[in-house]
Amino acid sequence: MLELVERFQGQVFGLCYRMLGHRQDAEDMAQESFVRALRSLAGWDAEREFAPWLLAIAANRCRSLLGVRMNRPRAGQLIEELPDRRPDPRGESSLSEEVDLALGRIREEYRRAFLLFHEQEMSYADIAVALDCPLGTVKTWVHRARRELARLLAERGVALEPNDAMRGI
Amino acid sequence: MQCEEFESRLNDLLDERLPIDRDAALRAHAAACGDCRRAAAGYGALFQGLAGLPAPECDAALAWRVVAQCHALRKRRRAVRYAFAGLAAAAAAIVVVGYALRDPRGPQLVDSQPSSQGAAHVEIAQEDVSPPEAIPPNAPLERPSPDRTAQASTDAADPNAVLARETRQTLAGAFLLLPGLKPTKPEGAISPEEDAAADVEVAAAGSYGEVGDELKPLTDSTAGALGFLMNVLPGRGKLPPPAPPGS
Repeated sequence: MLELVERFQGQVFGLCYRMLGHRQDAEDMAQESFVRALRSLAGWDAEREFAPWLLAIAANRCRSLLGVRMNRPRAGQLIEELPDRRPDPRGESSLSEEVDLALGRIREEYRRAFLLFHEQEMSYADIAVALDCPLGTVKTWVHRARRELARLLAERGVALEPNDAMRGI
Repeated sequence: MQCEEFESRLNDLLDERLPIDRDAALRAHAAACGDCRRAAAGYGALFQGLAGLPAPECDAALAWRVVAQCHALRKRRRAVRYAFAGLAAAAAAIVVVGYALRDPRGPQLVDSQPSSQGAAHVEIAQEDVSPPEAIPPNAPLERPSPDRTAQASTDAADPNAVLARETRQTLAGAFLLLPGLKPTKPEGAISPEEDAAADVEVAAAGSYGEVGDELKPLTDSTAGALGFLMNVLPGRGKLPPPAPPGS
């Protein structure tokens, strides 16, 4: 049991964190997802892969919590979620910070789908199951997220040199 | 290659997680088209920055918390299962004992010393501390001059009366089988008032004399429980009060 959890905890926590945007909630949902999955192990079809089934459980738990949150927002939640938009006093920003800022500016579903695909390296099919939406929709979200993020980075002047553009990807 | 085709081709390669810098067609178009070249620069920065973005890491103790929670849930489910199993076993045992002790004719009280009321007691003796004589399972405890006509009409009026009476008879029989107790011949009749108020079958079980000291707490508490139980049963059978200690 311990090995199973340790093997998939990164993926599950990553999904929960990207969906909820709150570390404590993500840990709670990850824990609850594993407990539910282990209790429902008899219902898992051995012919299916385990990870997508587990991630679907986690995504369902996160959606339930998001539904509750919409009715009952917490005071401390906003503080942690909003990225720091203050200009860097040193005048420098790492590329990763710029990407993080840009991620905060695009639509929530675009951001989730993009990070699940590129950061968590989930397939489109698994993301569709996790987010409970059609596969084509997930693809569209990821493509639009790429386009918007690239545009935002170009606007802020942090794009790579054109000669290095193709090598950067 | 057109610009729309450039972006579409770019996305296809990214979807396949393939490097795009080796695609000759894309490189050629990017070299020729300034807009697409700038777009490509944005994509480049995006993925280079994404690679440096710290991935969210969960608490190292998450796995242990999951295991601990699963164990706690399993323990709780097991306790509930055992509780239900115990209750079911106790209920089954009561039903089996009750059925086994039941006399098809119904317990009959034997009135060895006929009284004007025809009632009788079965008293429990203390003196004989040897193992009690085995009471045949179907030892008759005959009803004293029952008014069967009245009883039949009562049964018809109150369907629960039969059940209540037979339950009391079963409990009375079970009580008589307690170790250290044995029935003796009754020495006297109960008073007319008691007879009128009490259900005689109940009185057969409820009246007891001295018992062994070691069994007194058991018999006292059992009599008390039986008394309460019979009072709440339909028909309102009543035990006569137990004999005071030492009498």
